[in-house]
Amino acid sequence: MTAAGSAEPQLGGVKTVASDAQGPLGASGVTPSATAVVESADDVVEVVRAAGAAGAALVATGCGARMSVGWPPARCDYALSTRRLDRVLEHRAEDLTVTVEAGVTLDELDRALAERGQCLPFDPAEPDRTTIGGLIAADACGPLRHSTGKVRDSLLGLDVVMGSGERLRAGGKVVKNVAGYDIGKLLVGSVGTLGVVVSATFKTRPRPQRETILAWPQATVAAAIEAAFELDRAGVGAAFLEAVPAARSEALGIDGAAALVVGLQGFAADVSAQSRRLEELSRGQAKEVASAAQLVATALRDCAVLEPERDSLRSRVALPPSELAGWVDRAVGEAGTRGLAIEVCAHAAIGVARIQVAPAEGAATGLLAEWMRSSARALGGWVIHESVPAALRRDLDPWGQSGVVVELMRGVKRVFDPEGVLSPGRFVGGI
Amino acid sequence: MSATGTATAAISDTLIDEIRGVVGAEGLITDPAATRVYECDGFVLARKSPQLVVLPASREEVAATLRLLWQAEVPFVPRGAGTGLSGGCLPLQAPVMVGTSRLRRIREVDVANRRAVVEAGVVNLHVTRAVAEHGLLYAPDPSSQGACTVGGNVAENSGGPHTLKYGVTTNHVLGIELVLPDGRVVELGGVVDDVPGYDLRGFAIGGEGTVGLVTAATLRLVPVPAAVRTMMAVFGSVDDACRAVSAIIAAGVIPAALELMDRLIVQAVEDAYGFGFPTGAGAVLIVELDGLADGVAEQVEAVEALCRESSADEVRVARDEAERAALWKSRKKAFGAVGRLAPNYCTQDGVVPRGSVPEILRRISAVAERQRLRIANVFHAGDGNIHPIILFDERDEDEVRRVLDAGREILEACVDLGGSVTGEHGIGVEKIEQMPLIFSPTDLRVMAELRAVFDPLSRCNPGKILPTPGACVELGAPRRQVPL
Repeated sequence: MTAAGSAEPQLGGVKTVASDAQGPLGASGVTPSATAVVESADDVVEVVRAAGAAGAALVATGCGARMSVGWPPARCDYALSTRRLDRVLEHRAEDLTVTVEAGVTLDELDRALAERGQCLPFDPAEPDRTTIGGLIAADACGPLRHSTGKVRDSLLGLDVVMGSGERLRAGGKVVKNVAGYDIGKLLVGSVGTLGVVVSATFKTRPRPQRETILAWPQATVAAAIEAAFELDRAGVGAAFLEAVPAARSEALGIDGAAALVVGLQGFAADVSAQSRRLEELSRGQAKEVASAAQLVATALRDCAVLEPERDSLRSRVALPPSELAGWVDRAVGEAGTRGLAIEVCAHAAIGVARIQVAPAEGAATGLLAEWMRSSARALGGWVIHESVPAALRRDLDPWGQSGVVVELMRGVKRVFDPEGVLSPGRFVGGI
Repeated sequence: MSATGTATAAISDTLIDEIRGVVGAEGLITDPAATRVYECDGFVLARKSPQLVVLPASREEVAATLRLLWQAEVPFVPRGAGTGLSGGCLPLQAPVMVGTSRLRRIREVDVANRRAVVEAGVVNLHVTRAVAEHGLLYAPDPSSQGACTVGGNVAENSGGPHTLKYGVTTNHVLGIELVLPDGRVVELGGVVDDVPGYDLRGFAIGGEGTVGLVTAATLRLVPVPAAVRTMMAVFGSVDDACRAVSAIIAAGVIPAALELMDRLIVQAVEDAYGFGFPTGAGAVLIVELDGLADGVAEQVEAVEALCRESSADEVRVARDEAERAALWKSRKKAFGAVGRLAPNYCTQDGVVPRGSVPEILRRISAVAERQRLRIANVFHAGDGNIHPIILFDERDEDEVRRVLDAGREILEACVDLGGSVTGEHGIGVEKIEQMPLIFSPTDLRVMAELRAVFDPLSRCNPGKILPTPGACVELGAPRRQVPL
């Protein structure tokens, strides 16, 4: 802490640094006047309280990898950087749990867990730029979601500073716990509108004894999704089943317009048996990809968000799995008739696809976005537009949620953040 | 701030007539002799009969009933099968009980997408039975699964032996249809797991029926594993058995279930079911491994070796489905066998970090000795979720008092070791007093405020989960015993 009278700018007694448009908040389209760099839970409390007292709006950020999610904040006077909350507090290997501060990146945490032969069951893109806080706020996920579920399935507890400036403990550190309401769930995917996560406790898992990746060339992404669905229903126990487009299949060294990439993890005997099974089911077309497993895994994980193109529309669609291939076919057609280029990859057997629409002039992108949402809703699914081109940012609702549930969500926001200090306007219904 | 309603609130004849108009005469119980059936759940130390029991047969009837109660300012308590173990559906400050026993339809089984939409009153095990022909199952399997309902499971976020690998109810419920206390119907979550907005479904699951009445749930189904092997390992002491548990986890094996029974339980179970446990055993571990055939075979060998390294006297793999079923019967009906040991028992539901299981067992023995009680243990060792069973005779008032003290001391020890006061039974009325042990006044206030988002006037199951001045329960002696 600096001595009183120092010229260093502060917020709530915590040092701030000047923010710039290229910084972590760049993707959100707003620029705060300064960024407070917190180093402890007490710092977070002080900063949130000071912002509240000043009637200022505060946006928490880690590395800024997912700031494009949601509406642009309605206001943003200050940013709060969690990057110095950088400690792995407690890895209880015998309990398969870890408690970690919000600013630790997934890569950093993975290295710490590897020392005891464990890992987290998450593999979102850009693990070097995804902090624990960001993982929770954006409900980020990757291909492994196929077998290990989402953030909510492994999160055990949270230490949070609410928008009110009070510290809240949700859940606990044990793997099974039903004491009181499950408040932690509310924070997952809340894009920083309820509280600033200080630390979180997760279930860990043993690192797989063996892993391998097979690729199966396909004519289209939709065909790859069909193939994945069939494999899954045939009982192939994959860690993930990713349908990837041409650009990505090339990067994996596969000929073909698209590919189904199958990840096998687990006990050596299972991995070998499944690998053989897969070669049989694909009539020899599925082949193990290179030996540089790490490289492949990285390339694959990154493809879960495609190569982010500046000012593109990036959307995530979730459908009943059996509907996905047909929907993707139609989406490609819809885009074509509007003269738009789209790229699709998918967590193929669980009904989740990511769509990127290349930047284009005119109204076509907005119309396709609306089509995606209404067609998905008609099938019981949802579309979240995770990154919206600048021209559409004011009009295109990233969320598309409405009704009584939004009223209830407003009530939840009022409990955590009655003055609307944290990331105002970013969330569902303008929360 | 005390809850608004009291159990003595008057229910007018007009209200009864109006509700009868909604649910029909067959959906209404007013006779005190009949309402007495509903005076308690599996937590038998607290009892109170509702004045009126309403059994609606559809979502619309539930909504209309709750609207009438809302307008009449009468609080109510939802109830499933009444197998709860913490008094969650005790009609404490609510004269009306709304039961789900007539909401029994399985609305949809979507085999391709591995999900089912079922009404709240459908029995847990009936879901698995309905989808078994498609090679699917519903994973959460509380020991009471032959009786407990999906609605009750959602309210309690129920677990069971197989949660170690598969997770609890919240991991298997995609969406719920919830009738708010004012009668509005909302869908929380959906048929996919990427619904925009705060995860209100996740908040409502485990809300112990205080945020509204769940009328249906969309459940995730999982494929029946290709291979399942169930084994039993016999140890001279619980310490040895615990060492084996740690060794199994440390070896990177996540069993589908990992259950421990101590000497007292093994003896009672053997007397009751005659599985063939050695009667002198200090502890028996039940390990179930599932997955793909090759890996399971590999794991069976590994687990057997690890058990032997931890001084197991005997390791036996169930030869066939019949032997496997017999082994699970011994575990799931262990509580029934306890009746042979004492006239009465009550069970606790604490959790400790897995590595602290030997320590909590030592502390439980110390409590037993200090309070001059016999305590048996049968529990989910892999999750660190203990279920000490305190044996007693209800006719001995002093002993009943010591039982309650012992329960409290055990839960305090769990918290002291970094755990929780409930792993799967819920807070209900039973553990309200222990909530401040693990949550700060701010945590508790926020919980109350969040609950009020759904139920601003505390009309739905008032007096549960959170300590409030009006919520004290007079604990008496139990009259009947319900198996876990």
